[in-house]
Amino acid sequence: MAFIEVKNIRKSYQFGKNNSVEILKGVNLDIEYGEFVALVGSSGSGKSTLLYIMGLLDQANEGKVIIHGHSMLEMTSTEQTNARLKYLGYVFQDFNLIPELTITENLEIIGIADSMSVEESRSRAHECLREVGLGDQLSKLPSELSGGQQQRVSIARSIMNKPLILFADEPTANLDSKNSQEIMSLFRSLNKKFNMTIVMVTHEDDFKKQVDRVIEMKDGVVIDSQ
Amino acid sequence: MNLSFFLAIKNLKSSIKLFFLVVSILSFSFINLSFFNSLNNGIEDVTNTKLIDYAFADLTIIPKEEETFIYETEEILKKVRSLGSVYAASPRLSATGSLFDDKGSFIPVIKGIDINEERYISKFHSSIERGSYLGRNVRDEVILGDELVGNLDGAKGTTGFEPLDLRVGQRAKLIFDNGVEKSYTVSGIMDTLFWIPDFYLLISIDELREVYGFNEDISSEILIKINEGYTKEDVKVQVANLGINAKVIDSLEELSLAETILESQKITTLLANVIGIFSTFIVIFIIIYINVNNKKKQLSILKAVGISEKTIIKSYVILSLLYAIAGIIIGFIGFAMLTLYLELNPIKLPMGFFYPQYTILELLTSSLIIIVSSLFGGFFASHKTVKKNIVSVLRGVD
Repeated sequence: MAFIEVKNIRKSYQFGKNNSVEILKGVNLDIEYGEFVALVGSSGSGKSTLLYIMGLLDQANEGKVIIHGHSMLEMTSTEQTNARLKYLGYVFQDFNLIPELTITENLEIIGIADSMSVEESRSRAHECLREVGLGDQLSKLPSELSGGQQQRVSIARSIMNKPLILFADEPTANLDSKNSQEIMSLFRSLNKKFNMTIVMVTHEDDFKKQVDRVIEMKDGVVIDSQ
Repeated sequence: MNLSFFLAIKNLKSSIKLFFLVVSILSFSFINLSFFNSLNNGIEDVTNTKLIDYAFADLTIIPKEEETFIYETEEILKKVRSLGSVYAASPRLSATGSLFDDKGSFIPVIKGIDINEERYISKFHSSIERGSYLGRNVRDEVILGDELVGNLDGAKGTTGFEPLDLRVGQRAKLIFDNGVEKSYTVSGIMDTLFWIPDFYLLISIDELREVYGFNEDISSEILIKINEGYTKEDVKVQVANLGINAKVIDSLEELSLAETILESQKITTLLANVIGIFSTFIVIFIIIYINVNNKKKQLSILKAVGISEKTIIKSYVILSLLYAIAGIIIGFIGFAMLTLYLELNPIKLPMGFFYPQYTILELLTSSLIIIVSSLFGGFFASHKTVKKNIVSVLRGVD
């Protein structure tokens, strides 16, 4: 049994009253524990939608996502929120940091939500920020950092709760090549150091060689997952 | 620290201008709720006081339902005055007629009073604006309320009727409703600062009885002033137990006039409160909704990283509570300043000078209304936004 099993996932979006577009047309996929995989495909292939469904940020119309033996899509909304907090981490293309919180506070809130004391949470936030090379920027606001640094904060936030799986949606799309490579190295380092399963959506061919496996999608189905 | 509280404080700090805007709106709502109540309290209080001081005293003995007059006035007075709880009791005889000046006439409310005893149950004697109170045993003098003759500056009375041109010392012709015509010297003009007694014409009860051919046992009402330390309810029972051939009432409670005045105020207050609650709720809802909606991406980020909807909603409810508390504090300061100003500069109304009056309970009620409205507004607004789909918001579709 694979660590992540995706079974016959279908997803449609409704436009107006009678029009709908099927984005995912019965996706099946297995990902092993500790694997670093890249989801690739052309625009509109459904890779980001699949990532969001696997990451419990969106609902499928049909199918199952089984993580470590637990059928995730059948969970209640509260259970899914709890699962996102405790076991899953996210890195988004446009970083998605809370602008009014310092970078430490952006991480700290996750620890507090996960029942840590403020001190424990702050200490863990500093640890994560040091891990991504931002130990000297702890009290800065996101707006005071460069794009590459903000993405590092986003990665630090994603590992705050020591997740089992990290989902990344085009994490290097808004970065220059130097920063992009640094982020990829960071992902690889996290994957090796913590044996963290990473599922990353990317459209950049250069990174295909740096992951364990490339899963290619086209028109809402997986066409290659070797 | 509680995460909801932490998020609420951060939210507040990040939108400090909005905070001041909301707080100023809420403080005005608080002033509106509290001040309206206190104005009505002031009006109610001054109305009650005036009605007691001039129209009804504390208790009033009136004829039984099927009768026009009290026929055993002297005996009733004797019995009532014997009660330790009674400070004074005085009879009045009411009549109507036409009062004339050189140009026209007016129909005053004629009140025959016991000149000596009346001063212990009412404040007519201390309300003389011009001239003097009726002399002891003097029968051919009258006191006129200033609504009958206009105010000192010659202006019309508060009710807008054309006043008569009568002055202190002048003789005034009076034709009673039984047809008797007599002239009296205007001894004084009184201003009670209350429109009802300001339409009175006061005359000696003995004179009035003579005009109507009544003996000294006939009166229209007997007004009772009770001693301090006794309640109206207790004295009312004591008087009723005297076995008198008349009915004792607390006029303030039982006469429709007083009830109408006070009930109207209570309905106005209630309406103001309902509108206040509703507008506070709507204002808070709109402000929080706009605030939350502007931050829907942040909310979705929080949801995405595993912060529960409950925590997020709670943060906005706490934020609303902070708005409400600040609004109440600022509102209370404004209310206190306004009240202080009006206490020093009371407003003159037809029923007299009045200033706002309030109780701690009423201020607490206003505070509670602001708090509850804010909490509901904050809850519904954040609940509505937080239910949106995470991905749609993050992608900017919603």
